[in-house]
Formats: sequence, C-alpha cells, structure tokens
Amino acid sequence: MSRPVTAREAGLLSCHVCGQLARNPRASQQRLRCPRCDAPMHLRRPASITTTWALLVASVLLYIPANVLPMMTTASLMGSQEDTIMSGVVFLWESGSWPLALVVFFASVMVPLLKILALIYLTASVQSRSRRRLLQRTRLYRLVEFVGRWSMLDIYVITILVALVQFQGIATIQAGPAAIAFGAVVVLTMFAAMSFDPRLIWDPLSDPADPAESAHERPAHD
Amino acid sequence: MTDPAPPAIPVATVEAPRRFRIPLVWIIPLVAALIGLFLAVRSYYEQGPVISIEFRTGVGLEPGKTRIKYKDVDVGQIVSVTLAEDGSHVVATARLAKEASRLLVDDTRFWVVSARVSGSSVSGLETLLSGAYVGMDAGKSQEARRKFVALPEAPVVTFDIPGRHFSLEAETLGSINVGTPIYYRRIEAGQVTGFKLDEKGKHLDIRIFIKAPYDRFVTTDTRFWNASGVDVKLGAEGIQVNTESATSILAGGLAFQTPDSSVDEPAPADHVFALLRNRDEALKQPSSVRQQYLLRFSESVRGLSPGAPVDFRGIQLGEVVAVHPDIGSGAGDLGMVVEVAIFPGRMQARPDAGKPTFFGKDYRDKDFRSFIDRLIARGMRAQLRNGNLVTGQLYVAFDFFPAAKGGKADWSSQPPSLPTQRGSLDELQTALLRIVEKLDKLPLDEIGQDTRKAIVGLGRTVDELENLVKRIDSLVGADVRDTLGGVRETLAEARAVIADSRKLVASDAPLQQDLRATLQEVSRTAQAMRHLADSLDRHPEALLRGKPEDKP
Repeated sequence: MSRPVTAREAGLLSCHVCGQLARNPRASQQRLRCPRCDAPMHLRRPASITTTWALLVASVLLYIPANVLPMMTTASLMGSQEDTIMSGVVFLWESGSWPLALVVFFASVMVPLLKILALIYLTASVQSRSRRRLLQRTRLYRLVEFVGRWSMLDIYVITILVALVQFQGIATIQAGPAAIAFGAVVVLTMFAAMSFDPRLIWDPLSDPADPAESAHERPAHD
Repeated sequence: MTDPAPPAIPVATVEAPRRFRIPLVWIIPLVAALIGLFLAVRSYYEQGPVISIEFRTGVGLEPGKTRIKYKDVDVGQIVSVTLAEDGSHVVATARLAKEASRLLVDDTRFWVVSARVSGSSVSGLETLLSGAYVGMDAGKSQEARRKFVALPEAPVVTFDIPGRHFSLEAETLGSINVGTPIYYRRIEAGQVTGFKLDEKGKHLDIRIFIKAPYDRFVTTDTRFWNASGVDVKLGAEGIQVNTESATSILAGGLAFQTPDSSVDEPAPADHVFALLRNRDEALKQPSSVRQQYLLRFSESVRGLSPGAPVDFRGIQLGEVVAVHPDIGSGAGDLGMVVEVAIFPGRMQARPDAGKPTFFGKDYRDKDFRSFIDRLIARGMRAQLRNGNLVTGQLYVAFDFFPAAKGGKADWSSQPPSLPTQRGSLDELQTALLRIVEKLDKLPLDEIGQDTRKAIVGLGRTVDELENLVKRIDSLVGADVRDTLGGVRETLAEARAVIADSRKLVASDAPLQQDLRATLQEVSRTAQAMRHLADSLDRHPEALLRGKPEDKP
C-alpha cells in the first residue's frame, strides 16, 4: 500500500505522558490507560469536535457585545467619551493615523472574526468527514493557532492606557464591558483552536477503505 | 494490518466506562449566552425615553455629544439636532436614561447651560472647556410629556429649592432684572424670577421667589422696597445715604421687612405686594390709622413741602400733606394753612394689653381726642422750624410752650385744626430787627468827632517824646565818640593792608595775568606742532615738495 499508515490504523496508541506505545484492545465504550504510567490514553483528543463547537458558539455569542458595547471610557476636561472598537478605528482613521487604524482593525476586528470563521469551517468539514483540501486545511489550522495570541493587542493597549492615564479630574481612561467580552472571545477561540484535533482532518482518508473500522472507531471520540 | 505490532508492545489497560458523561464544555457557551442575553435585556430595559426639545437656536448643541444634566448628573444625551419644518426653531431629539423617565412631566424645563456673567454672579464656567450642556429641572406635575420647549436661558429658581413665589406691583423697573437679589435684613433671601407689564401697561408685575426659611417672614403686612444702588437723600434731617449691599449698588436689589408691631399671618403664595420706593416709605406706619389736622401759621411757609416731617421732640409723628394759603377766613389776617397727617400709633409705646391703643382694631377716636386736648392744655403747640440751615427746609414741630395761652383744638372743622405758635426763626428775626433799630438810634457822628480830637492830641504827645530822646542822645555822646573814632582809624588801616595782599593773589593781578598768557601761548604752539605732525603724517612728501595746493 502506498498510502501512509497511521497509528490508529496500525491498532496502536501512544501515551501522551510517558510516550509508551500500546496496542488498542478495540473494546467498545472503553477507557484506556497507559500500561506503564497509568495516565489516560486516547487515539484522538477526546470530545474534540464537541468541545470546539461549544467554545466556538460561546465566542460567537461574546463577539457581539465585544463589538457593540464600549471598549473604553475616556473622561477628560472636554467631557467623557465612550469608544467601541469600531468607533476607535474610525477615530484613528479620521485623525490621519490610518496605519494605526489598520493595525487595530486587523488585530481587533478581522483576526478574531476570521479565526472564528476558520475554526467553524475546520470543525464543520471534519464533522462532515470531508476529504478535500486536507493539506490546506492543516495549514489553515496552524495559522489559526499561531495568530490567536496576537488579537490580544487591543486588550494590551487598554490595559496600558487604563494604568497610565489616571489624572484625577483632568483625564481618566476606564475599560468598558466590551474589554471583558473581547478578552473572553480571544481566550475562547484560543481554547477552541487547542481543543481541535488536527489529526481528525486526515481521518476521513481511512473511511471508505474500511467502513467497518470507522464504525467501531466512533466511540473513541467521546 | 490487523496485527503487525511486535510482541513487545503491551496492550493498553481497559477501564470500565463511566456511566454518565455530562459534556461540561457546553457550560461555556451557555454562560456566554446567558451573559449576552443579560446584556441585551439590560440594555433593552435601560433604554430610556426619547424626547424632543425645541430650542430657539442650535448654539452649543452637538448631536451625540451634548449631555442633558439634572442636578449636574448625566441623565441623557442629544441624539440629533434638526431644523423645524418652518425653520423657525431647532428641534433636538434626546435619549434619556430610564430613571429620568418619571422626571419628564408637564412642567419639566430644559435650557442650554453655558458660561454666563451677570452683575452679581458668574456661572457655568465649566462649560468653557466641556462645551455647553442642556440643563433640566424636573417639574412637579403628574402628567407625562415627551415634547418640550426649552427656556431661552437658565431659570433663576429651580423647582427643588423650597420657598414661595410672590408678586410685586411696581411703577417702574428701575435697575431690577431677572436674578436681582432680595434681601431680608441684608441676608440674600430670594431673587427676582421675572417681570411683565400688566395688560394696560400701567404698572409692572414683578415675580419674586423667597427661599425657605426666609419665606415665613413674609406676612401680609410685609413691605418690599427697592434697595437698588445708593439712596442719597437731602431732606430736613440732613444727608442720608442708604444701601443694602455692594452687589445691590452695582446690580440692584430689593429688600423686605415686616414692621415689628405686625401680628399678621404669613402671606399665602402668590400674594401681591406693592413695591415701595425706599425703606423709609416702606416702614412707615400703615396709612389706615392716620388722622388729618389743619395748622394755621401766620409766617412764611417757604421751604415747607408736602412730605416734610411732623416732629415731636425728634420723633416723627406724621408728615405734611398739603400747604395752601387761607384767604377766605379773615379779612386782615392772611394765614397759611398746613395740612398734616398724624399717625396716632407713633404717639404710644408698644401695645399694652390693658390700655386702649391708638392703632389696631380697638382704636377709638374719642380717646385720642381727649388725649390731644390734654396735651394742648399743657401748652402743646405746632411750630414751623428750620430743619436745615443750608437748604432752608422747614418742618413742623410739636412742642410744649408753657407760656402759650388760649389755644384750643377746633374739633368742629373738617379736618380739625390745632393751635400753633410762631416759629423760632420768626422770633429770631424780630429780635434781630429790634437790635438793628437800637443801633440806628446811636449818635455815630458825634462819637466820630470826639475820637478824631483824641487822636490829634495823641500825635502831639508822641512828637514831644521824640525830641526828648534826641536831647539825651547829644548829652551822653562826646567821650564815647572820640574813642570810637580812634578805633575806626585803626580798622581802616588794617582793611587797606588786607586789600593789598588780596590784590596780589586775585585773578586779575598782573602776575596771574602774565602767567596765564604764557601758558596760552605754549598751548597754541603745541597745537601748531600737532597740526604739522598730522599733515606730515598724511603728506610726508610735503617735506620735499612743499604743501600741496588745495584744488578747488
């Protein structure tokens, strides 16, 4: 056979803790433990799709208040002002510092949105056991995992501003409720990316060759 | 493929499956959904009412920026500002906080707050930096309302200040304006809130507001007067300067006070008072208890004007109402009749429970008449007196003249007349006339001649005295004169010696003159040498060729 053999197809699994290779007893509804260090063993990350879906739904829900509610409140002698992410971008753009506006727009609006969309696409395609564009999807996953931490930029800026600009009576900056929601979105998408098991992208390759195998493969996902 | 693993690989331990596995991870989206739902519900319920306010102009109104503040607390924001359809005013739409919805009643007022400087105060300075905002004053009505018309400027008194409104009726406005302070014993107790002409334009209706707790000092008998500026009065009492406070000098002011004897009830809100010209006028006894009398004087009444005081040993009892000549009564005796008003209440000390009073409810005319009769029997008369020597103002004084006889009050005439006494100035005049007459009778010519004779005799005596002194002088002189002569010669010689020596040293002495001439010559030589050196320096060839000729 020219196509590569996976550990699962070989009926083997390795311990994530001590690296011990073990044979899969292939019992249904089973929970496996490492014969050497007694750590739980599994072929694929357990409940990967479910967890990813749950976290994605949560982050989609929180993405709305993160963009609608004010991100920070600037109170100065000139009066107080509440800024959402988009109004901040618009303000930066209109005041001429459009490179900064672009950075904020990409880091705070586009990246979380694209990340969520990418994860939804990945999870949905895995769940439908799609066999198309396997390599591109794996690359997309790597990109999502890498880019995730950078969308905390807005939160960093606000944290610094809130800490620095505290001149009572002249100017104060306070974080708004959107900051919490936005932070939660970023963290949740990072967790979603982590819980997604990229090996699942490649699993459908072995499906048609051995449909019976996949039938008793299913419980392992739980 | 089924069993390619080397035998060294152990089989994983199989554990019994857990009975239930609740997918804990779904709690996260559930919590997120709950949070989102909570935020949505909260923002839905927090969304307050939308109102529209009509403004005359859009000065200071910026959509999305201008705040609406009630008691300096943010309650809303202007959302949009549009012109009215007919372009006569500006309509601003505002979104208010939910808590503010019960403040939006029929008499709620809105106005634009911006920096304002008036005569007595500076307000709204914070708006210079933050921009104008819309002020709000919640009304007391129960009827809800969503459309309002803004006031042209901030109201002086807001609904939340306890106190009462009253009205004042005035002839002129003077320096009174909206916001003019009202003083009670020099404490600022209220403000003018507005004024308008009455329908006929005859007088002004000034609305005032008296703050609690001062409003309970406003009784139905309270007098209000204009305390604007400085009240300088030149009357029979001399110069009087009255003022209420520095602010009232600059910006005008009103004042009120209730007479001490007043026992009236607190005035109801919106009671109408008369605004009097000044404090004196305001604090006079009420005119309800006043009596008119006629006084007949035989002397001139020049300087006596209506309003002049009627005085009893320094206490003002009343005032002159009118002065007119009395032609009809007697043929030869032309008198001047002065009509005066007396306030009987001022003739008595504080009201005493047991005794009858000359004012108030149980005032009886008969008591007062017998009282006056008794006084006249003891010699009380009216007299014209000079109140001010500079201006010649007269006033009417009542005083006791034990020498006066035969006077009686005539209660039959209407109004009754009282006996008078010639004025003190009049008496002084007659006394002076008498002195002048006596002076006139003196033999001034004879006295003058006698005096001249005496002076001539005195002159002769002085001449003789002079001769006597001369004679004494010649007798004593001889010896002393010789000695003095010798001394004088010696002194003259000494003076000559000094003069000679001085000549030697003097500036015009020949020695000095010669020396000075020599020195001047030397100086001139030196100057010539300098010229020569100078010209040689410039034209060294002159040594060989001679001086170059000046060319024209």
